[in-house]
Amino acid sequence: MNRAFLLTLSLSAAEAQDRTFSRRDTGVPALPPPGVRAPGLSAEGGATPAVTSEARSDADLTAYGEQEILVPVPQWQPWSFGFTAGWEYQDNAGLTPDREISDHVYRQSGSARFTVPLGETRFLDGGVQQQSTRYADLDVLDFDRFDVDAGLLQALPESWPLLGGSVASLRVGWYRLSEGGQLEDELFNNFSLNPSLLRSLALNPAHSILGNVSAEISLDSNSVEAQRNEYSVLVAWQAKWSRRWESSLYLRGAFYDYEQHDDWNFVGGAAIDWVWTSWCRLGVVANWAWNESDESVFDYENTTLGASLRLSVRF
Amino acid sequence: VKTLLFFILYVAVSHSVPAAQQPAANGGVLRLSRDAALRDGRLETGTALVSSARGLVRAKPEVLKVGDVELACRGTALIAKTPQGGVKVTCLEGQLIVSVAKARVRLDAGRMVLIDRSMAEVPETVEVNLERLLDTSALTRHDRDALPGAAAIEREIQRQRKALARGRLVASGVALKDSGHTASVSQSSPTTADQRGASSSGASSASSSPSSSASTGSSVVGNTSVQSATACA
Repeated sequence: MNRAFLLTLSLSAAEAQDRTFSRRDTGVPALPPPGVRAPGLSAEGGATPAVTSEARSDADLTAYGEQEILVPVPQWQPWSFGFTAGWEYQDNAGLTPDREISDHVYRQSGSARFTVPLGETRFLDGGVQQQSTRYADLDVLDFDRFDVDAGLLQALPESWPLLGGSVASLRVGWYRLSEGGQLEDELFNNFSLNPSLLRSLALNPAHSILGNVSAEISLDSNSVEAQRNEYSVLVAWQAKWSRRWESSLYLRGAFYDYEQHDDWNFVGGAAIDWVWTSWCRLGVVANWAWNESDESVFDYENTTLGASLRLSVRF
Repeated sequence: VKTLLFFILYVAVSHSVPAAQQPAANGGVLRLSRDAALRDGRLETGTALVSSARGLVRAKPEVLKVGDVELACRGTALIAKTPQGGVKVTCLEGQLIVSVAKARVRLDAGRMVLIDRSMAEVPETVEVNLERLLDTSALTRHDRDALPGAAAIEREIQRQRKALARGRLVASGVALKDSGHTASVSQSSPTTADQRGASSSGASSASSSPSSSASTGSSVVGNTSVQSATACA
């Protein structure tokens, strides 16, 4: 359950960072201010036709020709759909303090999100995700997870000291765990309030650092034993080495406040992605998780090595 | 009078007829402007059009050097040595790897970059109107179909047309001519001061990346003449 949550968090953090970058990368030349028609535009908004081939005589030609600058216009794409399929090896698949059992795990998930701007800096965001996790040997641990969340995102003013440019969000989320392949057999459900603060800092066009502080306050659950409040900090470094290759290093520390025990959980990892197209990428990931509880039965260490295929479209 | 007529005819023909297409080093083709000088794979003056070979097996890139800049072309590109000694490169289709000192940048189809002679890095790139560029260049106006990348160029033109029609790209009205750095602003209707400001900022942005100095230029703007400060390299 912890790992599934981590994956979800790291993905949503990366998506949030993408959104931050896309605002920055809207094009080199400055756009005219809103309401002012760009020179070269007709009243209908279309481009003024360039001088046609027929109208231009050969004597007007130059060796290099004329280079008219085109300006990209940011397009808001409210819908995003994703599909992920991945395999991983875990050296302690049962997350036990001793008698560790390694296993191969197959995961797949599908998600849909809708994000609509409520103003220049405020967004309404909501989404659903269905994830399946299957173990090769420990199939008793198989489970499915269904998530729903919705919330408000607010980009903080750049002028604010320290927090300027961060994105604050407040979401409500609900998820449900069920036996693998048996959606009617509910294992656990949880309804929570999730505030977070995300800060992305571009070191240069290819390298960036991401920081995320978040909490998941459980409001309701069907199991008091498994119910918990969660407080976490994530730091990640992302690098784009070329159009095809990207990598990231991340470190996450969290405090899990259960009814009957408290845990400290740490995850460190590295990922390398090969970007095939804007909608398809392959990745390999390695991470190490360490859980320290005041009840020793919940202590564990687990190392994971895996690969995944991720598809995503926006429109 | 005959001499003058011959001279005018010569000038007209020499500017309109592209230089003959010649094979490039790795199976592609090369077209050079009349004033171009290419020695040992190094463009010393003028403008070159490079189109790399196609095939089921990925062909080697065509490599051209201009000053301290190395250009590895897998596709088709217009490359010029600017009058100021810099480099102007536009990728018409495929991609180019532009290397300056230790910096390497990929240039995709439709993107142009101006690199000043003194630069140690590749500045930011801008998108240019390929259809207009190809129609106004003596190296591409004629016999475009003879280029290995002709079909891919046509696809890139269609991509830009579609983006313009859907509003994903807009024409800035700022254009650079030939291998120079000076941008001119075209406007088809009377403008307010704000619009002129927007145009000037567009011109500034368009050519600001390689700029190391600025000059004030006079740009003919439709029926009017606007004195605008255009950032030039």
